[in-house]
Amino acid sequence: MILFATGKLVRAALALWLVATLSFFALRMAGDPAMAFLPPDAPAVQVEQFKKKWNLDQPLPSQYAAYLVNIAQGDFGRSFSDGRPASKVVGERIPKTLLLLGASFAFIVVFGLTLGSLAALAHNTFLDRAIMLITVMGYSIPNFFLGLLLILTFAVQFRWLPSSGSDGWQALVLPVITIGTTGGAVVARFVRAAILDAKTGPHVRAARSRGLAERTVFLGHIAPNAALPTATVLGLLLGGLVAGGVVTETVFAWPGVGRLTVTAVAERNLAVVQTIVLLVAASMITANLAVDLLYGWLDPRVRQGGRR
Amino acid sequence: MFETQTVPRPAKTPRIVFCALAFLAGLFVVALLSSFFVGPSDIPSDLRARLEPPLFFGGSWAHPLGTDELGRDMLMRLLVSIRTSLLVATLGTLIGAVLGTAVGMVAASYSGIVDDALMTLVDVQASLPFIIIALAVIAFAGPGFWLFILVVGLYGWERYARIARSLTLSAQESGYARATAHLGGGSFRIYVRHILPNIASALLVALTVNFPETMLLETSLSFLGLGVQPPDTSLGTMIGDGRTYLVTAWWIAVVPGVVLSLSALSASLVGDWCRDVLDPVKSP
Repeated sequence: MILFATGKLVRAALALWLVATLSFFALRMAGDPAMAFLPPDAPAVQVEQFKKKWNLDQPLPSQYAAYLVNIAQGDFGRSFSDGRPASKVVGERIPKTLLLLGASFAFIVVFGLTLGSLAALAHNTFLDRAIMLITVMGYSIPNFFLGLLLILTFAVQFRWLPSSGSDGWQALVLPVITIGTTGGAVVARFVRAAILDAKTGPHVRAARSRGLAERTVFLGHIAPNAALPTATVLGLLLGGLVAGGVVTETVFAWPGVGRLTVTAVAERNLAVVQTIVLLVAASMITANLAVDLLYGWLDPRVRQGGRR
Repeated sequence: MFETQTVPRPAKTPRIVFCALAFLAGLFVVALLSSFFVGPSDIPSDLRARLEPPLFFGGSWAHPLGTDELGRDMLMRLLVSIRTSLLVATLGTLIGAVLGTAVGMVAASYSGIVDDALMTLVDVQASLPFIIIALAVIAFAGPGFWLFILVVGLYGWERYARIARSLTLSAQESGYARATAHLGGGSFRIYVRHILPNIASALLVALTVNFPETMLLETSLSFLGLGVQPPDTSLGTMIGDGRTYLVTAWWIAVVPGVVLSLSALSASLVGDWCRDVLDPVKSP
């Protein structure tokens, strides 16, 4: 187990370093940040000053070395637009985003588990097909369009809920539905498939033949077997959640990291964009590491076998 | 009770898949035909006919889908946008498929450090939400159309790479691959002429699943104003424009939104059906 955990840990560290390096070079290769940030007719003196101020006049390898050292010390550079530390600019947006994504995750779990189990229990009936059609629609409708439709209906037409901002629980409702619909639909389909799969196992037939009530068979024998693959899918959804957050926060003017990403990208704020990329990468890699370790602990086969 | 055999899925194609295929085919035909007589820059703007509603909502036959904030005909803009979105999604899907398959096959054929390095890259990509990377690259490289297609094309490459790698690993041990090698076939011949056709069906399934997602990525980025740039327009740009006029002129966002949702829905239905038909290993 220790060997397994160390291996996973090394891999995670390697992945993080790779992301830091790739993001550094990709962003530097993609264009001169001074050119991107300053107006095209900026005088040469101003360009020089700008480059000096942000250490852009150094050769690339030494910029890279300085960048790695700074990151290790928790210094992610400064925001071009107002000169504040990028870690602070990003950091103050994190609580709002965590609130939104956390609520959306809860919505996905409840919505997905309910619809998925309903569809599986009513397998091959009208209800099953209706739920499946709803879920296909749920993951086909782009979340930014769903968000606009929700605003049009519940904010503009009925005036029940606010269309933007982040004050109070009412402001949370529409963004959560917008982000959660896609994920909830995916989970519902997956839960249905997992339950149908678990239903066919010999242990279920054995349980039935012992005369157990259908309820006991489902809760005690089918559900536990469907739970493990479902947990995996929930772990995989985190990436989609973050991506959905970027678009949805923009639609609803939610003051979180997602909206910051779009504004930072639009004003070409290099340090802030890079900090966000690293933040997202670090959280995703940590989450994956946690899932991997949990699996290794739960299932000895995973520990011994190599790659998937 | 006797052992009940699970009945295999009936071979009949569901009617809804036909509808979806017809819709997609129609979309492609409309996009192709419209390119002969309307381009992004020749939609006249009639400032006296601004924000006219669609036909059954108080509009007239002059503009069946209404007009936008500059008095441009929504139907014409829609045709141009459909064409752009389909073009980006199609090219993007192909780029990802070719690149990912190549990476996967190379990783499988050279085992050891090359394999490890490529697969680490795949793992890193898989752990990151692609839109973040795309946003970063696009913003710093500027809004070029072909660069945008390339960035969108990178989406999903890691999935093809994983599939291609694992299938190639088992295929290169099989009789036909070894026989070709014994007969003196070079590695290009073995991998491209013999192994690729044999693993193509699983890759094709991945491709149909990827198509609607690529389309959604393009429209999301264009919606945020960071994808297709004016005067060119895509479904995403149109929805983004319509956002400003949501209260006064809902149709500017809703019309392209409905078309986009229906396209993604059709593509998903066709993709699901392809998976059922082509993929012998049933995945949920």
